[in-house]
Amino acid sequence: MSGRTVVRKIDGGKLFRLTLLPTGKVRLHGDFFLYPEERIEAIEEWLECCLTMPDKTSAKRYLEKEIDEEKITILGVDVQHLIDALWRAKE
Amino acid sequence: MRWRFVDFEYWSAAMNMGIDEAVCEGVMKGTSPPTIRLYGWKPSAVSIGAFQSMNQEVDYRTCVLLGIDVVRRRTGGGAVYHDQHGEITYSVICPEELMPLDINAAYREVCGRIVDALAILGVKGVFAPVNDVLVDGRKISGSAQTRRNGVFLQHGTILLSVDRKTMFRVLKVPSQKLEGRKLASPEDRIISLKEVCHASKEEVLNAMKTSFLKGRTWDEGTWRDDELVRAKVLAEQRYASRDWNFSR
Repeated sequence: MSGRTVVRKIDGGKLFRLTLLPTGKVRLHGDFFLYPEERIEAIEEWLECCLTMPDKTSAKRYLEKEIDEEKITILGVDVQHLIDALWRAKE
Repeated sequence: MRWRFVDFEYWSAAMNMGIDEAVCEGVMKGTSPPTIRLYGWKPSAVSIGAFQSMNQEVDYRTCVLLGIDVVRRRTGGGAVYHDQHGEITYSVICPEELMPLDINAAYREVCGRIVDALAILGVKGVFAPVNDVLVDGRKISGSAQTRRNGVFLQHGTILLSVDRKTMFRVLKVPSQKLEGRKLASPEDRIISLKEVCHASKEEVLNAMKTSFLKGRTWDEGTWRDDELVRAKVLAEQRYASRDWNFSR
């Protein structure tokens, strides 16, 4: 998979790989847990939207709101980790 | 509510995942009872978590070369090498209301049964959230849980013995996995029962059965015809398909 990939092992948590593709698409892989599982693609789309935001704070607020409204649970990784990785990937 | 216990049996990777899903569907429809099953993988297999990439986690060519199955689970978590002779896998499938609502509490409940099984064998295991059981700080058991349509599924493993050479030929373990652990290599992260006690496979199976059924009313059971038919369809159409297994 081409693009910029950030691999992060969370202390006491899980490992995830966030890839930012040249097309602007985001792919998220890892051994974390997410319920319901089929919402992984929604998380990836929301992360793509985060790329358009001016800073990490507003991106985090947006992603948290979407996850909360959709009643999605993520275990082993949290929103801050994802946003940090996204910003590193787009640097 | 009476539970069904299905004693240890071998299935292919695709069938194991098909059976779990078929029983989940049966529990949802009310045609299958809450079920606890013990099983193995024949041939040996690698399963990957729902959010993993087969190419990132597994040396697929080596799997083909060694005759090792691969399958994507519908649960999260990491890649697991299921050695035909070195592992017992369990599944707990039941209506959601029979388990704690909180995901972490449910892991604690089910993984606690593994800890109790180890205690029966004279081994001190410790639950390590999110989903592991450790012995002497090393992983002996991992589990993965999901809930869909009001049905709870947790499946997981217990290592009887470990063929580290094969395990780490087929699994690609990223160096980052070792971050924050005082361990030299991926091989050091795991431990098997063979390394800590002299229990036979039969004794381990009995300990798991005792622990998982404690406090529950249950019947020894087997699969209904409709469950097996559905499991075979799911195995063939999804879990044995390249589209599913290489979908991410």
